[in-house]
Amino acid sequence: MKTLWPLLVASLALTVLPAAAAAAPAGLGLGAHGGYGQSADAEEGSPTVGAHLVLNVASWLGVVGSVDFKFKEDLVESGIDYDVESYPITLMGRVYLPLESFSPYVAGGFEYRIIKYGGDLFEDFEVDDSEEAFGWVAGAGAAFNPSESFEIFGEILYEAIDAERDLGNAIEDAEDFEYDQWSVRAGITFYLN
Amino acid sequence: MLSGRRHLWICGLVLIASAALVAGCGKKDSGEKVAEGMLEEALEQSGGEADVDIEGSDLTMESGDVSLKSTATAEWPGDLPASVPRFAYGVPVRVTRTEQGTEGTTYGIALKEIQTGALDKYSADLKAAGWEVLTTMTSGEGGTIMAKKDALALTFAYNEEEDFGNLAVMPNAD
Repeated sequence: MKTLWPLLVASLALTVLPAAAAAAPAGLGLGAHGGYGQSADAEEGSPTVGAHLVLNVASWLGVVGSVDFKFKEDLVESGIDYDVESYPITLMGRVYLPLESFSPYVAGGFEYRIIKYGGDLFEDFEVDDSEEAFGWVAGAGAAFNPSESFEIFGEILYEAIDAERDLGNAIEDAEDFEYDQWSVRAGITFYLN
Repeated sequence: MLSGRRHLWICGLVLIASAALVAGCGKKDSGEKVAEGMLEEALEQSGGEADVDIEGSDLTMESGDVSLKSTATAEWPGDLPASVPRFAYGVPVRVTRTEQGTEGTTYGIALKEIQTGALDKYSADLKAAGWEVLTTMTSGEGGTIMAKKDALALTFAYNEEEDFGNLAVMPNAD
């Protein structure tokens, strides 16, 4: 069920927002996206969902701000299971190279991530179960415009997270966890003008 | 915090892209090649081998264990799981597939020429095919469906005024 949420948000955006009169997506857009990624040390990946704002300041340059929720991943170290979920907040630039049919782009920027830990260890002992981390994100994608106000986009991103992992001596094992990951995202954007 | 090397990396990427933009202006074929090179460079700088292919309106990107393929087509995707009823109330214009590792394929099908009453008709099709329709919402300008069946989740959304809809099918993470 959890993978449905991004599309619910996207669906609402698509359905509820009024149609705009702009001839082509430009200016300010908002939308929703979903994706999937696996942290380097996770047992398996998890979906990510989020909302984004796009500001295309020129035909070749856009700025994207997004807030995501990355669903729980399981990490195991020394026989101890850790649950990790996080909230990536990203600010990226997009440099478009418009072609006849669509607009490929490269993207790069910064990420601030709130990481929350769970698992038996955190329930049994009173230790700090969250941290904040900065990192960078870079990748490439493409935007397609099936109508004058809407954009479909897909992108592949690499996220590098410099987590401090200062969680106390009780969970030293967690200090070795890596959250760097490839992720793939897709979504829709509605342009307001 | 970010290292100086990473700052340089990002600045360099923007410069490369800008140069590619200028070089590619006005020439579709060379523009595609420039775009391919630009995207590959961006992905490879991010951490590994990458392959990008642009053919007209189609795009394929692969990097790490993730891939994205977007194709302009009026055909219903033949590799879509058979349990997904064909949407017969509009015309596909683009199919986008994303994959990561063995997690399965996510499909996005952009649709145009959506017929009046499509929401109710497709909702009925889904129920007839054994899907659990979780929500069906309508508004003055469109509507949405959310449904799930076994290991799949599906949403359909459209906006009548824009004559645009999107059907997404993905692995259900339950």
